[in-house]
Amino acid sequence: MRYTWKRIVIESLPLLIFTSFVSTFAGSAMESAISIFTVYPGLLLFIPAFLDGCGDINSTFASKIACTMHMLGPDAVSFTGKYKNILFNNIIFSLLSTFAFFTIFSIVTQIAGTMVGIVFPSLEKMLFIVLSAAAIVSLFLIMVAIITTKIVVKYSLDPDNFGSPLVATAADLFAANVYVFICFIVL
Amino acid sequence: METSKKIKKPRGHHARIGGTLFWIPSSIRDYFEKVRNLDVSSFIEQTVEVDIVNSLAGEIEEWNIVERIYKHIVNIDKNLREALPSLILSGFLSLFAGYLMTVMLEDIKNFPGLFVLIVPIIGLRGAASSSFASRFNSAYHLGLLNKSFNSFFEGESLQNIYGYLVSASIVSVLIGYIAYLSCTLQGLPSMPLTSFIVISTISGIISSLLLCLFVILLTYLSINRGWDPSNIVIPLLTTLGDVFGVLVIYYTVLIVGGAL
Repeated sequence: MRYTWKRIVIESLPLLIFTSFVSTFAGSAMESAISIFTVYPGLLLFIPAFLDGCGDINSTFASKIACTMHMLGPDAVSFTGKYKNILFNNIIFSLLSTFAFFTIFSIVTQIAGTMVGIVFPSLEKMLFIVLSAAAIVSLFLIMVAIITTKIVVKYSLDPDNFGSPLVATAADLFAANVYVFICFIVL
Repeated sequence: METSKKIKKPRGHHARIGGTLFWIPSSIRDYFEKVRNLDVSSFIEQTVEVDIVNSLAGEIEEWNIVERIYKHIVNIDKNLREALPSLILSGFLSLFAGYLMTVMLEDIKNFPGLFVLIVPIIGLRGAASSSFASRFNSAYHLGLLNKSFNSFFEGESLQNIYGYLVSASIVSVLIGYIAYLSCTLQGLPSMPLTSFIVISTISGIISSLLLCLFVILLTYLSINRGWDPSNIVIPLLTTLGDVFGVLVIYYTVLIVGGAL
């Protein structure tokens, strides 16, 4: 029998406790920015979508480079050599998705939110906060994905088991902190 | 012989390159013309020597893999067209969770440290519920689940449900401690430990039960409609988990908040 409830509990608890602990730091960042959220609730409205967007886009990137590595070997994930264009194209896709998604989404959210009476900073400030935070987070998560994949492959482990989960956890930890930090700088 | 069989499958042509005849799949022809700048314009139908084919087999196989990667993995246009709509849909659902948080803002001020609790409870869906859904997905592909609703409550599938609910419940209690500890370590204002534990336990267990039901129903529907559950359940789960998480915490705070 592959699954027994005891085995599931024993194997999953350490990771669940670790990710819960890491997530509290994202919560702390939001807690420290309550004063800003009280003035501009629109910034709070945007947070779950921001965290999910950063996590989803960059987990996809991690999954893509893991898949490429499985198909072509460890040299496929490199900034030099004959496969460098594959990695560059993946990075370009990740950054383009980030900018396209967050630009469209910021504008639509601001328009819809304002219509139902939620207060936002001006559109320029909102775009600056969201896009600069998203760019910093994405570049960081791309590096996390590449470095994790390279280290994991070196030890003959499967990058699928490490890349995406680690990127998702790093997104939880990092995205909220960067977003709140940029809010404090801009507002 | 096995190699020559493998490379005869794709469409291609015989070509003369530098006085030697090659059988070249269409994609390889492009490769020689565009990347190597070799002349393969003169095509002659002729049987090719097996050893010549074998000498090219490694390169042909590698190029086919690279071509597949460019076509499916790093095709920026295609990926943007496929990814953006689902990202935007998922983003709009997340906005509902964000909207609930703005509604809760006044209550959050009365319960210092509540934000520190909200994020890990929402995060539970990412780690526990996705693994739960993923195990159902594996069980389906291994033939342990079928189109019958009862198969979800038998043998290993039932163990999967128990395992998910037990681990999610244990972590729900622990999250209260962890959030309190995190507030204390960072010097943030916080409500008493009891409040953290009561809110995290009640909301964690209720949201896990709701997500459990949601995963079972969606997996059942996916299987019966012939869809791959992994393409449907997990993407929806991560987004709806946000909404369930915040909604349940909101009502937990409203209902039991006065007593804390």
